[in-house]
Amino acid sequence: MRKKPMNADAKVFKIPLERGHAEVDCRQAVLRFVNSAGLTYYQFKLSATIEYLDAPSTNEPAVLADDGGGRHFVFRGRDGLTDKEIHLEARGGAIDYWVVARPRRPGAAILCMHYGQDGPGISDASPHAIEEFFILCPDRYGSSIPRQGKVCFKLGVPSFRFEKDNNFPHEGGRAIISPYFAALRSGEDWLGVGTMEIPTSEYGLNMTFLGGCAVTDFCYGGNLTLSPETPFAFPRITFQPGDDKLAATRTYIDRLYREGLAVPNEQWESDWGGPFYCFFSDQMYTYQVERDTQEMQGEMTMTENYCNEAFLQRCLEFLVRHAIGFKVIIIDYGWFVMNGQWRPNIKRFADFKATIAKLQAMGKKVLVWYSPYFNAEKSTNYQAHPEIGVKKRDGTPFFVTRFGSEINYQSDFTHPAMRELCRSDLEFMLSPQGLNADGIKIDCTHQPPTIDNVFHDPSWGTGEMFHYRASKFMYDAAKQIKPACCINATAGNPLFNRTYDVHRIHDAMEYNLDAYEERAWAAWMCGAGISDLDDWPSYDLFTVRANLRKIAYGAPSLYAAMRRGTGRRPKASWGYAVTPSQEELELLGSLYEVYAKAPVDLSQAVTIDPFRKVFCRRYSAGPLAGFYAATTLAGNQAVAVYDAQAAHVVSISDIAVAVPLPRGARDVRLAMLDRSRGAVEIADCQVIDDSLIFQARRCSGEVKCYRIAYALPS
Amino acid sequence: MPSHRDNGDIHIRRSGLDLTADAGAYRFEFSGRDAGGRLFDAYCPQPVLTMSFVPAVNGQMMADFTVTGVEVSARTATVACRAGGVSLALSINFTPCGLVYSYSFDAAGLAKLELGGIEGQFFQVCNFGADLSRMDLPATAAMDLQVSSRRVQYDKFFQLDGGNFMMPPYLLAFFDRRRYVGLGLLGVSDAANALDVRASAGHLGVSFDYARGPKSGRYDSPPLLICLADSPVGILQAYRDSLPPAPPRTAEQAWWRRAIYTTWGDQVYRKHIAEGRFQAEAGAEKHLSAEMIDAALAELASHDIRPGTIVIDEGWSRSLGDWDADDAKFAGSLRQYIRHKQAEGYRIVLHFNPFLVDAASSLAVGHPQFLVADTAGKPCKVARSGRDYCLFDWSRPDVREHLCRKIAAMVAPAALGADGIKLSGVKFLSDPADVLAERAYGVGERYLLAVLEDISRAVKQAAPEATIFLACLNPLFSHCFDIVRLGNTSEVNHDLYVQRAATASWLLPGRPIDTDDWACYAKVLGATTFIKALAGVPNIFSAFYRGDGRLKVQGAAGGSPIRMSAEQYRVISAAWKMHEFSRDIDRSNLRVDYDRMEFSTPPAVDGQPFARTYQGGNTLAVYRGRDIHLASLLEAKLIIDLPDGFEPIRVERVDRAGTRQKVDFRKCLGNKIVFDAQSSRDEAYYYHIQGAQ
Repeated sequence: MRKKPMNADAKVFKIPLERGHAEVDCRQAVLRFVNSAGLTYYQFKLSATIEYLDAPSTNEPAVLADDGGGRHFVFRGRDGLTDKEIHLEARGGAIDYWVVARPRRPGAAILCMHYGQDGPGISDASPHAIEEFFILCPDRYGSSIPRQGKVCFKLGVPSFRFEKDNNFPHEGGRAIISPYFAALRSGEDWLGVGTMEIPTSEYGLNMTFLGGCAVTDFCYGGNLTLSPETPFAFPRITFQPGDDKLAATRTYIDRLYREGLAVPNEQWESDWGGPFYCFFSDQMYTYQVERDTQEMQGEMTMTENYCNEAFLQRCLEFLVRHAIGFKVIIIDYGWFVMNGQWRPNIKRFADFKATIAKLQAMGKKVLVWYSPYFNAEKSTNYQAHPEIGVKKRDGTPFFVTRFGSEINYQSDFTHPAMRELCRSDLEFMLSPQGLNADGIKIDCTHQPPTIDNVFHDPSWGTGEMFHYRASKFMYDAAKQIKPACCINATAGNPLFNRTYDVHRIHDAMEYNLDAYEERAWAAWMCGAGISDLDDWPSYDLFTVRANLRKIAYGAPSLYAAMRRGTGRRPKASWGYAVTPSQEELELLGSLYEVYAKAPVDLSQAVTIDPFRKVFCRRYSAGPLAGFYAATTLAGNQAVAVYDAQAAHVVSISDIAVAVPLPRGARDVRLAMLDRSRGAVEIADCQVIDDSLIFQARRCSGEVKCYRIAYALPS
Repeated sequence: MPSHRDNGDIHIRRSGLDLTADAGAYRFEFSGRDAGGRLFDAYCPQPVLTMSFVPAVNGQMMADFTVTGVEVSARTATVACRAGGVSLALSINFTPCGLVYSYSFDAAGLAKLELGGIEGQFFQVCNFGADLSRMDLPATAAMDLQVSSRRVQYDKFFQLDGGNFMMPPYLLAFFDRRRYVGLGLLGVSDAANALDVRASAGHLGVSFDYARGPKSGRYDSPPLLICLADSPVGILQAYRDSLPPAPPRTAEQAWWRRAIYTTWGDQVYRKHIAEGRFQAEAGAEKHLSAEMIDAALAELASHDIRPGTIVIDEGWSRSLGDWDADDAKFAGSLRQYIRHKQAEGYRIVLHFNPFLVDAASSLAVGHPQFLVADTAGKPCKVARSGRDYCLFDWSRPDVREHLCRKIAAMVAPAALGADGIKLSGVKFLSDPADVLAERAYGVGERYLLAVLEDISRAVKQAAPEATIFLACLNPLFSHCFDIVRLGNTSEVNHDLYVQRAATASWLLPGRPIDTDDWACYAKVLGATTFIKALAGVPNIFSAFYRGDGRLKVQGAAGGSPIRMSAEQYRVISAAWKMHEFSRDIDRSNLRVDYDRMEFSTPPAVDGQPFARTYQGGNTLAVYRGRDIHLASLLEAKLIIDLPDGFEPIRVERVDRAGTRQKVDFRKCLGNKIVFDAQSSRDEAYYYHIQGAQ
């Protein structure tokens, strides 16, 4: 048996990294990161501190138990209640760290585990000289780290819960569930830190930098109680250097897939590529214009007056009149009686099932909105089963308020009754005996119950795991009811794959033309499959320019056609209404029409480069295998969509375009599709270097689009 | 009254109440009714644009309005009226594009004047202020749209949208699906508001608010222009053409169009990183120093970015308001530092805020009488970036004398000797309810005008060639400054700066445009840098960082700083190079088409140089005789138009070391050239297309 050295004579082990190196100082119980300029920028303390609900937090220094030949180190630590086994393992270019805890007596509830902190306060955390961090977290992706003041990012399911002293507030789980990964820069070097599992804590990676110290927290809110019989392994985190922030991020994500922790989505049905239409923003902006008060009353008033059969019909007629085609329609918030009473609101839709059937008869797939974590007090679900709500520590029900007045008790999916209600509600929405919808838009999951609530059965899963298991439960239940149904939900984090079919990239939080492509890129980096590119709150900026790009990298979605928004404004939180011009509507119609020639699907290889604004997708099979299914052109002023017979081009300006042709394409003929005259051949074009060059006109007015017909080699 | 009298453009057809006028392309017809609430109906052409000239005083419609006489001259009709026991003179002037009207009468306690109004089916309004460009009007609910230089209109619908970051033109355009109707003030008002339009169920009414200082004696209402056009740009043009001639200004100096480095971004980011307080810009003044500026210039130079002008922002003085140089930040002497930089070829511009006084400054403490007081006699406070400030009372002669002396010292060769001043913070106008020592100096916007005129005079008297930067789109103030500064961005919006630049190019033609940069958004750098180099003078606010977002409620002032990448420096250097090639090109009347993402200076006439973008602003080309220089952010086949008669003989790629490499090209589609271009994000600096002699 190997002799286990004591700290007093323990060694320092050097672990070479791609950039710089790491040192495991067994005597100090510290993992040091040294950058390529020789600067030690992060001294990660191997000790970890447990914070208890009802007991003081104490900590004894970690002592080396086994150096594992310089590859797998084991340290032992303890506090007043718990023995800790601290693991550090060099794996290829990465170093993994985790803690296994065993309490000496039962019953101590844990509030938080602080990695890299050997005492009760953040001043006991790990010293660092890290200058900047990067996270794959829309709409903020990083910041310099100040030498004073607090910077904290919390990556996971919940959207940010505001902390006044935090310099880096953000939406952690709204746009997407960010991967549990951050890249940290020192000098020219980047070091990644990532969590290798879905934890039962709130947030999957929660790092705080304050006063030159850094800590990684996993918060359990008192819901984690350890047993002396069963050691508990706290989350495994990994340190992974990279050439740059994106390379480090990719390495982490690739590892999740390589090790089978993340599994790509597989199912794809032909209609899931949309375009999607949802009349939510049309309700908002029509309400704004037709309201009879100077002040706007918000979404509740809008829903009351415009989420109904008549207005839906008005929207559909508008789309038909303007030839804006769509494949999937989402009936959003408001079709039901109230949250937790998922039955049609007959004041708004007299026969909702018939409404859905009518849309299906038009060839549309219909998704209905569902919010699994909200239950109105007077809802049938909550009235009949008050036990489905999570509780506060004082035993009173926990609720969140939306729109100023809508009180929602939050669902406790750890309770079998909640899961059964959810299953039966999904059955009502999806089954032919119920509404017979074609899928569900799952929303508001960025507001799950907080970790400091009391759950019926915390062992089922709390924190991030709560949402994963709830999502997986919903997904599996829906698929059992209707295997071809579409689950449209927001995730992104690779560990949450297979809890949805189409990944929705959620609300635009700023009036930024690039907002959606940045988010779609973040999801794409994660391997999240195909994104429903959303549209809320439907800014005018997105009407044409964003949609042109969207059809090249995902499933376009339209939330308003009659009016759009001008960007967030003081008197209208989502923006003032503005009517699109006839030209804009024609362009939108043209874009959706050419998109329909080759919609996105899971077999295509999508490329999104939001920095250089390169957007395309390529076929992986068929006669055009390896060639574009769609690509933007001329600085995103035109787009080409390809099928086996032709390229279909829409230009949003009068511009000369070079349209790549498939290899070996022959008999190339260019035609302009005129709205009144049909196809008009154009002779003034040239093939240069496998591209067809011609002067395109803006595809509005008479010009609908262009078609470049070709014959492919047999 | 004659039944018909041909009188220039105005025809009086039947009686003194029926007028017809041809005004440019549009025809105004007035058929008068001297009973009931409406005097004239005006329409142009058919169907009707109905106007009412009946005013309301202090909320009372002058319903007993009667006309007592009409006088007509070449382009003017003066209508004598009587209402409510008051005699009024209604003056109507026809400009080439519209009509201007105003009232004159003996006021007695006038607290609010409402000028008749227009009836129509207006459903959308266009705003030419800094940010909001257009919005739909509510179909029935009333909406108050106020455009003014004041920062926030808390009780108005626009709030920040009426003129937060730039002084807006007093102009709105209303669209009825057939044409735009413009409402614009042609004079600077001394009312509490400026252009204030109540839109209600298609009715548009303009009012002037004197509630905080009722008017008595002879009163002339600010002239209101009503014009018509097919587009918002047409309204801008009509408004511009209707303005009174602007007083002459100092001749432009060549250096006004050289690229700018402004220190503010580096100051704020240094503060953020050192202190960790991202939420406020206040305190950034402490981080200004000669060392910081020199480090920034060295960093920029290492990336081939060489500004010609340095704007030394807030912090050069000991405190805001005292305007004494903080020499300790400049190795003992700001004056010497400025000399030194000028000797290196830079021009130096110093920040100046005319209104704000740091409440803790020696000046505020030592001269409380210099400050605007509220009605209780206490100094008024305004909050800026998390800190309270007092306001100078410019209506006091001693304050004017004091501040003008300080301003003169900033630019006088014998004093600090800067080359100009950057006026900032003019939106912190005192409230009209505040107590000014002499209201006769000016109230409301008229107070701002008086202040800016005094500042301008002080600068030009001390150094006639010194320049004044001001974030202003209002042509009625054009004589008070030299360079239009585009101001801060309020959001991550690619179009915002160019939208502002386009308005400036129409309303202040020929004026150099400082395209600004704050809040340094990383997200819009690639998309906007080339377009800004076309629109005006490039400016960079930080040599080291860009800001990552600025979400409104939760955001960091200036965004969270992210170190600039080599690629971002290359984009800036290429854009600045293109600006060098195009610096002398006239930027008046920029052609900006957001729908098509096309931007250009007016097309060349007689072979004059011009500049334009291609590929949605991703490529910027400068045409000059037999040379076309261009840079592109794309790695793609570039297809570029050739001027008539231009025969390309050579295309070269120029890298940053000046090495030229020949590039294969083809002519195509008649008068175009196509070649494979590399992006200026990478090694390519720019391309040079040479034409045959």
